[in-house]
Amino acid sequence: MIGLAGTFSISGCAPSNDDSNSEDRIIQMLDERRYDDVIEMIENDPDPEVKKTYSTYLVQAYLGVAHLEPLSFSNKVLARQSSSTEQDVSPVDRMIPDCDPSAMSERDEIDFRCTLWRIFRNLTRKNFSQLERASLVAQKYFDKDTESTNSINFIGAYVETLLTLHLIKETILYYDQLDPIADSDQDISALFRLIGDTTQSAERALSRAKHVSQIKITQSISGFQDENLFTDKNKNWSDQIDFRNESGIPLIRSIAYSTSQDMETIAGKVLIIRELDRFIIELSGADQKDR
Amino acid sequence: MRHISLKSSLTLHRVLASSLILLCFMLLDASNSLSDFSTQLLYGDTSTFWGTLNDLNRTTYSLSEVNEILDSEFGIPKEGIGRADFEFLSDTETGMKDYFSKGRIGLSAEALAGGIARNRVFPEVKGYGAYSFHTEYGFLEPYDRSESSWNYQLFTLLGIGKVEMVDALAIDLYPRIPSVESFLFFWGAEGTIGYKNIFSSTMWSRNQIYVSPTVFYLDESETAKKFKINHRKASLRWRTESEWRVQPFENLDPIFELGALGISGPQPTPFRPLPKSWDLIHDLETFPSAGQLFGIGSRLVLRNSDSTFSFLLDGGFYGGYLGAGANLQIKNFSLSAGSWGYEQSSGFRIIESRIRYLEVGYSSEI
Repeated sequence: MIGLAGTFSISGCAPSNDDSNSEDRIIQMLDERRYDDVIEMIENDPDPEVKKTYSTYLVQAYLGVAHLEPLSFSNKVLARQSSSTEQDVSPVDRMIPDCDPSAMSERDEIDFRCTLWRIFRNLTRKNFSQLERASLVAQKYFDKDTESTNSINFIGAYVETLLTLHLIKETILYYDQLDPIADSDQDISALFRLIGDTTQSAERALSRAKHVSQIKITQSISGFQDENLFTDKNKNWSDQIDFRNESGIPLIRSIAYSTSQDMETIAGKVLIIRELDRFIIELSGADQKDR
Repeated sequence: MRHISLKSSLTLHRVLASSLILLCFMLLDASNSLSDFSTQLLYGDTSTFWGTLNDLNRTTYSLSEVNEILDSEFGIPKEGIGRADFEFLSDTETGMKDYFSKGRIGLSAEALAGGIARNRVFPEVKGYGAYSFHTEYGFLEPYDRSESSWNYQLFTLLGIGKVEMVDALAIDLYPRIPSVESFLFFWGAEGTIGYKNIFSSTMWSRNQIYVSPTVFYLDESETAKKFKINHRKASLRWRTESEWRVQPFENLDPIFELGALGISGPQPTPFRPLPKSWDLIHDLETFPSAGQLFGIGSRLVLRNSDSTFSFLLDGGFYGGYLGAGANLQIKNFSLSAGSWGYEQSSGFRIIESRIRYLEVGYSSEI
């Protein structure tokens, strides 16, 4: 009794450890895939400092809600893809035809065009809003790239990479159904807004990626292979990380080209459209057939 | 009178095997030269997280394999402990005799290995293995069995060991597990003061306070270089313990006793199997959340009057988790088994590490 009384009085003097408790609870919810609970807990907290403190977990919870956890998303991309029926060919299948839907091994040689097809198929409109939200939280609360830890930059790079890919998909699908003659200026403006969003997201992705060790980026994107969507194993990493360097692969080249153009001028717009056309031809595989 | 006891607390196979060998030697030695001797051996859960890490190490790093291996591990700590203790007690004849009636030297070999994977979005993997050896020496004044009395103990301890740790995002596990191996050095003290109040021949109470500060140092420098401290951690284990015992039926043989136990402090369980390195590995907080600081439970005891047989059964809610344990003592041999839950976080009932153990022992006066 004396002991217990003593303990109560000692505990009363103890410093509060609410912060570490909250963090443990948040991680426990992430372990249990209770992503909505994490979002509710952090977003609804009246103290703005809470959102800043736990912003990395908030970003991860949005990724979880969007079913974009890196390991399981990579598995979905590598898994056998469902086939479109002849009557109901999805826009992505139409845009990037002739890809083998069977399960892919990380040890298989990476075909850029068909890997992009797999990624596009698994990035749905349903998870786009969560991804956008994750990006907004990261932009608002993550410190500058140079001041952030490796892990935070990695999370930021991952979010922005997915968002970039999502926006590229939206852009080419939107462009594909545009009729430059019949459609209004508003529709054309919407296209350039999409391109603008894409390039900004790509800028953010690569800015974060510059501060993450190469191995993490390559593993996350390519499934532990040496080569991946953004780099070429035969080229120096630091050369490729600057995506304005036009020696990169087509996707990077196209984005780089777009950002280098002034979208406010007609000449700039024409050049961007030409680049988009070239990119879409590459995606369709027509250029390979021509060769 | 000198008193020797050997106690081993084991959960890892290799520690178990070495301790069994040690135990055999002790028993052989005892049968040859000692008139009265005692020993204890404990065995516990053997599953450790290093199995998972080894699985990861063996894979060809297919994403699906990594996902599959980690999928069942999230938020579930795996932990194994092992301990072998040797204790030597001797009557004090000069110097401290006025304050402590006994001097004590203890030797302990301990092992702790385990780990946890957390966060399904960007998985973090933590794994650890700590193997240490420490000595304890000091003085004590035990309770008097026949009348109300004080008990006080004061020991210092000094230990060395090896710690291997992995703390990484799952993605960092390629191309090899990035474990860091460190030399461990630690020192500290243990102090206990308690009072046993015998109200009558059928009822007594015991109140005790225990404090043990320890400072750990980790050296991660390469062996050829000078000792360099990379990490320093100070921990404070403390606990208060109140036990009340009553004999509901007089003149029974064996004697039947009912007890109530209240414990407070980090890891408040009646049995204390955790090695010293637990404090370092789990970054023990002196004052974690209040919920994990308290434990209450009951105790049933069956014993004969000449102390050659006793059976003790503990059960209760300790530190946020239900737990139970039993101890059987026949003459000089004892056998203990139980299962207790320990909180690994600073919160209440967030990450439970469940330690199941089996201990056998032998002790004797020589």
